[in-house]
Amino acid sequence: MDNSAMEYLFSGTGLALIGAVVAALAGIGSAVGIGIAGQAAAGVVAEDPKKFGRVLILQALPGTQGIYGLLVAFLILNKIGMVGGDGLMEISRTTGLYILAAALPMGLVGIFSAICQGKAAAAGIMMVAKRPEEFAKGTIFAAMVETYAVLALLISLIMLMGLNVTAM
Amino acid sequence: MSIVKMKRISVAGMAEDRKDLIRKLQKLGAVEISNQDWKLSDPQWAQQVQKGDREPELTEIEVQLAKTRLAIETLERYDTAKKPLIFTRRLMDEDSFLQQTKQESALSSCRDEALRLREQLNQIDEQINQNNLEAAALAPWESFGVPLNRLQTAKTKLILGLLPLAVETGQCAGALQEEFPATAFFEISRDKSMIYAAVICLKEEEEDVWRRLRGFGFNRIALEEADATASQRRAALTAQVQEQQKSREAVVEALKVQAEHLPKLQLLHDSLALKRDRCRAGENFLKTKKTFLLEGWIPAGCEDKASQILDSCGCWYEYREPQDGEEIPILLQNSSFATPFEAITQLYSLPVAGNIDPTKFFAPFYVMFFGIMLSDAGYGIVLALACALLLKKYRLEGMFQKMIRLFFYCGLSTVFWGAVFGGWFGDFFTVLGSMFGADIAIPPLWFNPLDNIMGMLVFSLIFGVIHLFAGMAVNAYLLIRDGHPFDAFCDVGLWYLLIGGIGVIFLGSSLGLAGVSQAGTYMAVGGAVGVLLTGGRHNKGIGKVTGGLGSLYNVTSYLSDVLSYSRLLALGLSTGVVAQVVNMMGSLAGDGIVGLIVLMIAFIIGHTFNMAVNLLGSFVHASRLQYVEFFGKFYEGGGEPFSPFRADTKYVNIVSEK
Repeated sequence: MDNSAMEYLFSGTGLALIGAVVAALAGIGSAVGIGIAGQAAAGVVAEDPKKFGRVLILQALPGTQGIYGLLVAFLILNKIGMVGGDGLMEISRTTGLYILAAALPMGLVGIFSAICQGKAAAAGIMMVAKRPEEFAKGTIFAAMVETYAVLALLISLIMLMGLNVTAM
Repeated sequence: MSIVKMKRISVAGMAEDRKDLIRKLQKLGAVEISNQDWKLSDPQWAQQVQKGDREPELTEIEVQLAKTRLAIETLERYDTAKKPLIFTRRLMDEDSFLQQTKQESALSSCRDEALRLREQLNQIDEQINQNNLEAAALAPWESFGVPLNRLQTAKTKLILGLLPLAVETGQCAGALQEEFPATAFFEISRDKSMIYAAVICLKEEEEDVWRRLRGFGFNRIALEEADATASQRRAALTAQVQEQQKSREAVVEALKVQAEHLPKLQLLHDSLALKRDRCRAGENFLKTKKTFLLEGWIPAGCEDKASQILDSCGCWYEYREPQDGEEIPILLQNSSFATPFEAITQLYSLPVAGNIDPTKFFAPFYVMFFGIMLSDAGYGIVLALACALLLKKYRLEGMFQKMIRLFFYCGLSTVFWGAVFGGWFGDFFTVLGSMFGADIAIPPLWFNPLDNIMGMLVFSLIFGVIHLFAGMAVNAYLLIRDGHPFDAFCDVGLWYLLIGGIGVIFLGSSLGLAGVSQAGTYMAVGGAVGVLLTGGRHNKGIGKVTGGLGSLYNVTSYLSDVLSYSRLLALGLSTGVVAQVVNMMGSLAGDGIVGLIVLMIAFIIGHTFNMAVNLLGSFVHASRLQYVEFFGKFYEGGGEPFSPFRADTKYVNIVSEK
């Protein structure tokens, strides 16, 4: 591959944008997780429509990873000037790679933790079907999973904030 | 103490006073009546006393209650009166409640009328359903001109049936004709899935013809007999259904009118429910021929009122302290600020008798963490206002009222932390200002976490350490209270030294003071050595060494506890950033009036969504920090809630005059 194609495919800005994409992909996990929980929720509501409010809250829990992903993606776009700045900057390939690396924890952990959280939430929903009074415990079980999404977000944020992005 | 002390109460009295006493105790609502069945398995007791058997009466009341519930359900469906957003029990003074429920026959005739109408409606619906089904079955036979009760003559028989679409009808007719010349095949109609056909044959050949037809997949059917052709019958049925629809509407109208009596039925329901509860309470009494015996729990401080009642009923009674091994019911009592947070404790599990009510300890932290995580003054204002409005407009009760008050406090805290971190619907006012060329910026009172993520992280962890230390302090208090001051020193004091020392090391290095770091190191090492030496103190032999190592390994659990508080930063940031994204999307349409309208639409939809999601997140994670990190340090749940015998009504709140 000649050099100009490399420049074209792997420009710094391009890599940074891929980073934003990777972070936003955490939404896949949230979608799957909420879908899993939603199936369980619909089953419970079929038996007892009064439980709608409670199971809806449980179903919404795996949604945060998508939001964290959005957060990281937004910060990346902000860093490279695509939003809220003076227009898209051309940045060096090294910086672009750094940004891509920073997005990875949130993107990967976001996807898997949201799916697992969805499973925990579905189990919580099943629990609410039998013991509605134990609703709070169901939410806590699901929230335990989220800790790791929070930690991934933390690392992604610290890496991003530590980067000094300047135009080439 | 915020777990209310309980006293055991024993009462003996004359059988004729029993009913009066039960009534008065229900009104007082401060005594939990215990089940005494265990005494009956003791032969000595069993000789003397019997269980207060109220089974037949109870069953009768339950039946009445179920009927009333059904009537209320039915009428609620047809009630046209405007319902309030939130259901609250209506107030009623005791006298008028008693007076109105006294005419039980009038009330139950209201109920029976509602049930009769319900029954009528069900019958009509069933008939309509049946007729519709029949009409639908006749539809394909519209063009079949033979009356449905004349499907045979002396020698011939008409067979009706269905054929699969794939069958070639000509071929089928030809094949029949060939084999049975005295047979005629007619296709009546066909629809998307079936061919409807009639076959005339000789009676003596019927079996054989049918067998042949089955070879083509013919499925014989029978239509409901009638002295009319299919189309006539169908028209008659449709007309009938229309008639029935009319009478159905009449019944529905009658139900709507009957719905006026809902309040009466609700009174009946509550009156029956009270009666049932009295009956059930009576089941827990032990009785001899002329006397009864009652045992229960009463919160310390309520003895005077109970004594008054017991004296007036001429009973003998005594109070005593609970004994070891008795399961004491738990009632929490807190200051007016902390009371709403009992809901959070209840959602987890009440403390066991020897433990402590954690509510007042975590309440300030809860409010603070919630505020930091929602961290938008605009959202805080909306939340606090909404809760204040609910509290003012409705007379809320119980758990619901506690939750709303809790969210009210949390809303206020959110306003505070939002102002501290500079979030007012994200950066909405800056965006709005820039539309009109104005430069509005609401500076944060402290700092914007987005500009200083590391700073925010450090403060989150510091808040966490304070929270954890508070939980450990409660543990130390419990240990000292129960006479284990040395355990308190080892399990809490040494860890304070260790964790505090690590904190001081960080402090020193960030301030660049080597001396401070040095001191921190000594503290941490001192704490670690202490833990290492004392961790195995309850073990024997080699366990004393391994116990210490195991105990020191707990450092990892403290580390994960502290790191868990980074969610304060994460949730706070996610509120702020998503709010900014919403504002940015709203501003994409440019300046001017169109831009303003788009901004407003984006504002309402976007911020409603963001607020809802983050409200949920803040609630769940503020609770989690209490349940997992804070409670983990000292709390033991699993207490049985105190459930006094009281006027537990659903629709009316009976207020007794003082």
